[in-house]
Amino acid sequence: MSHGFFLWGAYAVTFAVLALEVWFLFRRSRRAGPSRQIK
Amino acid sequence: MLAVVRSVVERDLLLALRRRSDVGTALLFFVIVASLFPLGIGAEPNQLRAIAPGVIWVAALLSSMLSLGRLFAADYADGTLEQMLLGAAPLGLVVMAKSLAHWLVSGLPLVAIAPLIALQYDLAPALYGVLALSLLLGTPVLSLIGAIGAALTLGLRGGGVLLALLVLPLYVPVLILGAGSVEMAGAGLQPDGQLLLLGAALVLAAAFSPWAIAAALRISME
Amino acid sequence: MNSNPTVRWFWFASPQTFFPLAGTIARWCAVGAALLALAGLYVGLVAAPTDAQQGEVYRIIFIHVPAAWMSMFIYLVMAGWAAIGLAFNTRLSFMMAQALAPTGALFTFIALWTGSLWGRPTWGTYWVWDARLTSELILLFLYLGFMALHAAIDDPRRADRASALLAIVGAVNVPIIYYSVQWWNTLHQGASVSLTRAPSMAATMLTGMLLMALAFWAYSIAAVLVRVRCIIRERE
Repeated sequence: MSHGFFLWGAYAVTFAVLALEVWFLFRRSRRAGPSRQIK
Repeated sequence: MLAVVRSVVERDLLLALRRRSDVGTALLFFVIVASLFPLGIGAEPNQLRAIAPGVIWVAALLSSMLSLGRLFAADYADGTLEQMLLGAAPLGLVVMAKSLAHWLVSGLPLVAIAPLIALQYDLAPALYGVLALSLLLGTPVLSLIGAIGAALTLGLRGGGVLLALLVLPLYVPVLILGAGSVEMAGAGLQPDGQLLLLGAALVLAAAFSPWAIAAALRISME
Repeated sequence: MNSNPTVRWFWFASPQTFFPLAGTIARWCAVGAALLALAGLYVGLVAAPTDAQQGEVYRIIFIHVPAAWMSMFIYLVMAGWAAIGLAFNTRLSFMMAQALAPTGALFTFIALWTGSLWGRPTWGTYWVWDARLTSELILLFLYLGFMALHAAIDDPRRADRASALLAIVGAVNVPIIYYSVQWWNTLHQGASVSLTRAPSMAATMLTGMLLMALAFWAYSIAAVLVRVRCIIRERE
């Protein structure tokens, strides 16, 4: 396996994981709905 | 102060005596787990001798963890634990005494049984002493740290497995030091460093964990 | 009321007042994270020279090392919020600890993943039992234990406080675990050399790592604040 595979594998999964976290956060944000008590 | 400790220890020992099977099962578990490894890995004597300290220590960890559920469960169920929280005796002292009783019943026997397992693994007899000493110093630490986990997971569903997940990472240093001491001795070097560190761990655990256990109990019971 | 220093100090301890502040900070940090990441990636992937021994693969450290730093840093911050929560009994502190855990666990995973992929071409195996990776693995267990304990308790107050105590006990143990694993690693030197021995640090490499570390830091702040806003909305 060329070294490029490992390099790309590392970077790609990292950004995929972080992107997933962001995506899930926005989903959770939307589900939580508008805030009711912000003064 | 000492009277409190004595009465709690005596009570817990008496209760343990009445539920001998509970105690026995954990010890039996220790033996069974240790017997599984050769069945899985193969009984090549050199290999067994090499893995013996680690296996015995891991078995001790697992056995200690299994018996932790018993530490507070019975008192929690019949309301005695609440009384202890409300009582005049300092909670830290009470939990220290309970941990001591727990260790006497679940940890100390491991120290006695370990040489038998070591025999199964053909560990050099000269190492039995170090093995026993490492377990003697290490198992109380396991009881004390484990008690924190037991207090945190009091009454929870899935408690036993959750307790394992919480407590095993914290056990790692004790495992490394304990098994390491025997391996050092096996390599012909002095195990003094590891044993002293184990002793230090014991002192630290004895000093700080009663506070943590008491805090955890208050959190779980309010 | 405004002149009372205690009230001032706890002004942002109320979830309501903290909410908009968190949003503002999160937005700025998100932008900052993106910019820093671009800069860091440029340095790491373009500007830094090829390594004599490891070729291009060493560029993984620009993710691996900052991720490992973040994983440990976040755990400390989490334990810090846990301690503040237990000491001052402020709901928001517990919420912050809750919000930090998933991000911390993710960075621990990233550190493990990148470490593993770095180990394969460099040392031959996907998993190397070196001190850092093994400590990271145990750190992951500590994070997961924290999240599991909180999830297992129905009563929110007990869940908050129990997991907070666990976080503190864990934090006290982390240095002990790290040093004992390091000692264990030197004893069982069988396997290779440590993964932490990156190629001798050229200045550009260090810059790249620092930039990526700052990027991860800004990202973490943004992600955690967004999450804590969600938690506030869910609970209040």
